[in-house]
Amino acid sequence: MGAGLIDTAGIHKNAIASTTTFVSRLLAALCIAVLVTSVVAPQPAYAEDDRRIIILPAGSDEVDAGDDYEESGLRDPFEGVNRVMFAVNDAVDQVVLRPVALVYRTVLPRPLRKGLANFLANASTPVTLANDILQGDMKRAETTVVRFFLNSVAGFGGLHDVAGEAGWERHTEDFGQTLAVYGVPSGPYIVAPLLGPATPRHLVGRAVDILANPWTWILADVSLIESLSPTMAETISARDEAIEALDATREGSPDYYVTIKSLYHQNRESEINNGAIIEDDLPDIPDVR
Amino acid sequence: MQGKLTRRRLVQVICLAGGGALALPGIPRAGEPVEDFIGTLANQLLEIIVKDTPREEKKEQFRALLVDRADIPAIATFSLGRFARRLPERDRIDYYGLVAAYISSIFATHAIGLGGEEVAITGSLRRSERELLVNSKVKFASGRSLAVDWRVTETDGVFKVFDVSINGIWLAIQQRSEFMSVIKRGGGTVEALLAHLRKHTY
Repeated sequence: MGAGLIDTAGIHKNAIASTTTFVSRLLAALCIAVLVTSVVAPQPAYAEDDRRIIILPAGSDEVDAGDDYEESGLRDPFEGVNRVMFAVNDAVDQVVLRPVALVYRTVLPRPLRKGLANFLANASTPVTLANDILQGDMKRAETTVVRFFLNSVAGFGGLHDVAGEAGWERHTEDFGQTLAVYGVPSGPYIVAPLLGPATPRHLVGRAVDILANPWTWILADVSLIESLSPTMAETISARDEAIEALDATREGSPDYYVTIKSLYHQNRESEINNGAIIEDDLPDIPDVR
Repeated sequence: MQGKLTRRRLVQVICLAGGGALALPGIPRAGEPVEDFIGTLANQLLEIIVKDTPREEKKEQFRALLVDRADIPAIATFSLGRFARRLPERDRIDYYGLVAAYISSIFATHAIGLGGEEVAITGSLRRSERELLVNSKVKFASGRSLAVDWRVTETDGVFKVFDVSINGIWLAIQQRSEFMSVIKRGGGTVEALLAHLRKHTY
């Protein structure tokens, strides 16, 4: 009985330790993952077919310089704090992430970097597929499945995007988008330390996606550095691809904070709508004839 | 060689291959004239982008195209948002010119990272007597594609571009956010924006 108590205590202790380790890894992975979304140019979501216009009642031609549109933008009630956090994240990007991406670009030739990016995209299939299904979009789910098998088999484990070349274009889905599809409001715009531009809905979605990703559990028992290596690779790969675009954006922007916020908001809305144009969301064109 | 590799790396592209327009089932297309207009324009933009010319030359070529094919007064007014009414009449023409020069500068800065292989018009829609939407897709050698959509105004049979969306990012809306930020941080005066534009239309 005593041994039983000791065993039980030991198991409990190990479970707590294991859980603590896992949670810390989860948080670290979340930090890195969202940091990427904060500093890397928004990754596109591609519409699967050519019919991208959703026909809704046409907007009015009244001249109001689109004032209504301003009110429908992403709310930013914590702008003061957000700007401070954004500056911290940007400093981390400039001091750590961008230099690492430059080294990565220098060391690895383009084909290898492209192959790695393709492999990582292929490995993220479970998250996209789960959310395709949760959103009831079976056509996109089918595309996701076909892409995975084509790229895994004919594309050498996903290193080569043969499916994309054959017309099965990549798209991404996440639980934040699924929540949006089910009508969950985004909440205000927030920039958390290291977590970067997001909304509460987006952050919750991220956490759920990490928990639902089989790779999280497959790598749960390896060392911290090993378990985070896919996320780090994804971060560096994405940052590498965005070096020129972000440099140009920084150079040309009169307010980098506002530029990134607007890019984040527009890109997120486009992702949620699977690239379709929602006519009612388009601001009116001023008539200045 | 280096230029070629650089173009392949690029994420954003505006180009058009002319033909290849696809029918959109169920969507009333706006018709060929506006699609031809966008097709021709996209080809001209692509030519400026891919041609190995100095930044200043790209900027000037783009500015000439912009002034001719874009609805600068509408873009400039839209970019001011609710501050549009505060723009003094005497500054209006000057402001339009500054906006054209500013957009050209931004284009020249980003043009280094633009490229593409082929573009097809994938649809068009007349929203109203005055406004049309045109959809296109830019295709890369890798098989990847990028959605580029155009909002076009028509006045007396003349088409002008009001806004362009690259993968869901509408550029006029983006510019409006930035202009309004400059105005707000400048105490809510349009003069702050004019000063900024004069300083940065390098």
